[in-house]
Amino acid sequence: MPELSRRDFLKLMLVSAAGVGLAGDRFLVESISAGDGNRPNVLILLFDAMSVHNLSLYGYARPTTPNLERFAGRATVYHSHYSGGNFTSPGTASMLTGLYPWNHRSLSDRSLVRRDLTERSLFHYAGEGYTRVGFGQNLWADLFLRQFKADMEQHLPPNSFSYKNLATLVSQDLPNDPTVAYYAIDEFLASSHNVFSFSHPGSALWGYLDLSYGQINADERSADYLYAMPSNGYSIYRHPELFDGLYSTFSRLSAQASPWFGYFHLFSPHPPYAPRREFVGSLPEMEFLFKKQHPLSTVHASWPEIKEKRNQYDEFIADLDFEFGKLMDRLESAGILDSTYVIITSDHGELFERGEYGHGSPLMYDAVLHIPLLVSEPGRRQRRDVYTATSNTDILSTVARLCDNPVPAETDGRPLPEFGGGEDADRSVFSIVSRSSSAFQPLEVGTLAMMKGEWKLIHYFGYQDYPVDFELYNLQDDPQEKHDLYSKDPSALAQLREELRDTLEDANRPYRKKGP
Amino acid sequence: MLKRLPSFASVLPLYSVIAVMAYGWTITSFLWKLPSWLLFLTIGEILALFAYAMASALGESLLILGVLLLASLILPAKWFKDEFNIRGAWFVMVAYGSIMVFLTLYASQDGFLGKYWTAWFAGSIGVALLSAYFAARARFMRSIALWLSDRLMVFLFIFLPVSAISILAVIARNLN
Repeated sequence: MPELSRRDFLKLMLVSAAGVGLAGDRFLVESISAGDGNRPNVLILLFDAMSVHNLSLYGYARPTTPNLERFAGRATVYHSHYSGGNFTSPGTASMLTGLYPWNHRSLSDRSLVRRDLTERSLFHYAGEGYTRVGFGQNLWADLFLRQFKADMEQHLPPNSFSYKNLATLVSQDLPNDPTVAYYAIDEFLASSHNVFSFSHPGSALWGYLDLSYGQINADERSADYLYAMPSNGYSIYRHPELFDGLYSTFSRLSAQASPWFGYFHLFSPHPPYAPRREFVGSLPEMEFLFKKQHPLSTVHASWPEIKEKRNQYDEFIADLDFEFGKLMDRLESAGILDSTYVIITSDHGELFERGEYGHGSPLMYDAVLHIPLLVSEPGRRQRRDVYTATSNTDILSTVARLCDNPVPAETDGRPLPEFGGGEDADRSVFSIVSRSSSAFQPLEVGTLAMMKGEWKLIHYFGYQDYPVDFELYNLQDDPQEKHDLYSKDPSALAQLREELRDTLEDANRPYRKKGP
Repeated sequence: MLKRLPSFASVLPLYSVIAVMAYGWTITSFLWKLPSWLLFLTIGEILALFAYAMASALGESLLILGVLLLASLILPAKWFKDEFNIRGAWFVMVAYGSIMVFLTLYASQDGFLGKYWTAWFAGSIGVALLSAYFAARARFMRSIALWLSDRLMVFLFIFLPVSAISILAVIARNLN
């Protein structure tokens, strides 16, 4: 090896320093984010209440998601991905525990998962070698993060990256009793100000002060928003600030020596739909397929009202997609995407049909269950598409694999196709809503949907004055679920019905009282 | 300084009025919410939640009493201290009761009243001050205040021990 003179050594140092300087942030991030034996980072970015039915990525006529489409060019796109539930609590819990709602038992509004699951969550299976970070902008999702805090290095409060608080969220300052303190203080004693429900606060004085605080902050008008400002009920946020905050967080995490796992549950496009002014009216007009009101509809909205809400929802998605595109560009420029798996998904969809808008009703039609899933892996530059049915219970096993950990045995899911799992055309995936059922009793009232191949069977059980037991649809021929084949295709029905009933029976068995 | 404070014999009856209102509201609201909690919280968690509620009710009632004691310190004795129990009871029943009415209407009308909170507050305080002024002069108002505060005192024998235990439970849950 030739000897290096002092002059050559100084030249080499000068050139190296200039190279580092020119490469800037990108060099810095790349050199440190690979960390810990080159294990990749894993980021789950979840958009609450995002239905595939309103995404141009999945064929919607309106161009709501050009940036998601661009991102799909480097990802695996799952076309038949379903949530375990049709609103936040069961849907999110299914993803975080890898279990269907009848197993994790988060069935009702703002409920918790089984207490013995607190150390069997997604964060646990990401493994201790990772810096695990959780952010639940939806308070009901944040409750799970409070349950799983033992397996998290950082738990960001739900009002992080917010523009203004509407309530005080005292329980954030009681880290040793985060769940009960939430129910006691934030949801009960001082609960009067919440845009989603109006109830008696448990403390008249505290509640009144909290209400006044919320009114003072909520009174602000913004020229940027025509309908309302985006809010999760406890704080007002704006997409640009939120996404700036996300970028800073991802950059900070990537600058650490260890790899990181991040679960970021964003509230948008959950109601209230609040697009910025420039997105209002930005999408072309389109005709929506009319479907008559369902007897179990809870909103009983008129058709014009549903159409108006749907327009606002689409505009809100377009607004969100715009910021998402900017975020991905920044992550790419910084080199973070080169060392990070990015999983884009939702916790449930959104329904605009049959007298209903929103989610969480007894109706289990495709739009409220069918959610996006894109997985981008480091270095991928081509799109892949997977059409067989997958469930959001699969995310836990997949993350365990991505983080180089064993796939847990106690899960209803399996690794996703292309990430350790295979495609299975005969697989049944389930989704259930049973809001009024106790977490400690058998499921008494609810709707259970089973998707298998081209078929979808919906079972209504326990509803008073509603005689229909089943509906059957062929999703391939009739993706809008207009033609109930229950009475027309008995051969297809019999086997599906038996499987669905067995599933419900198995779900209830552990909770039935044993006979004498 | 202490001479400017009312006697314990007139503080206690007034406190019993405040306590019954604060605890009564909290317990009623608790019972109203209980069915939904029973769906997903364990009995232990619900008891812990009740402990927070009782600790809060104690704090709230003491805070209101503290404000009234502060007023008696600041104001001329004739205005408030000399008729502390009677004037205080009427002030609390009207002002605190008015907040409760506002919150009930607010909840039942899906938050519609929220934007009128300042007007309601100003009106309530005005009416409460007037009723406190007339309370010491009108015989029936005087009788009502004395009769109520005397009979409500018995509830303190339940509320205070329950709150003491609750505070210990809340502290224990929040220790490292």
